[in-house]
Amino acid sequence: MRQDVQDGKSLVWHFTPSERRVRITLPQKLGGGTQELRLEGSYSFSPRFSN
Amino acid sequence: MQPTIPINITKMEATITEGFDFLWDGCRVNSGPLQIHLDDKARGEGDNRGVLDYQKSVARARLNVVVDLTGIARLLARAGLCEAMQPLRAVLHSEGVITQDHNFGLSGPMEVLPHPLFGPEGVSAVVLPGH
Repeated sequence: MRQDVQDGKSLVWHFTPSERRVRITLPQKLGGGTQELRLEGSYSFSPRFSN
Repeated sequence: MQPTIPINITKMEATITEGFDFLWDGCRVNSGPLQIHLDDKARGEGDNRGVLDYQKSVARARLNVVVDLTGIARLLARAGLCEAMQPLRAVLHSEGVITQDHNFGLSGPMEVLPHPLFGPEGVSAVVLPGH
C-alpha cells in the first residue's frame, strides 16, 4: 500500500460491514441511550503532492 | 521513501443500513438506512485531508461528512411534521495505526454540528477501531 501511495495511486479502504463501528448517543428528547451500529461502504484517498 | 505522505480523502460512500432507534411522541421508531458521504462543500484548511506518518506508524485524517436524513424526514412527515430536514454535517477526527503490512484503519470522535432534530443537547458519535 505504501508503494502505491508513493506512486500516486488512489486507494480505497472498505469498512468491515460485520463490525459495529459507529457508537451514537442520542439526546433525551429522542429517548437518550447509546447504540452501536454497523458501517458499510468505503472511502478513497490519494496522495497530495501540492496544495 | 518519504516518511510522511499527505493525502486527500476523495470519496466516501457509506451506509448504516440498520439505522438507529429513537423515541418520537412516545413511540419507538427506526430511522431507516442512513447514507453518509463526503461533504463536498467543506473547503477549510485540513478538510478531507490527512497524513500517513510512516515514522510514527500513524495515519491521521479529517473527514467532513454529510448524513442524509431524508428517510427520517419521510417518517416524521407521516406523523404530521412536514418541515424540510437538512442533512446532518459532522467532522470525523480520525487516527489509526499503520500496521507492518502498511495497512491502516481510521477511527475517532465525530464533531457533530448542531441540528434541529437533535436539539440543543445534540447527538454524539464516534467511529470505533476495527478488529
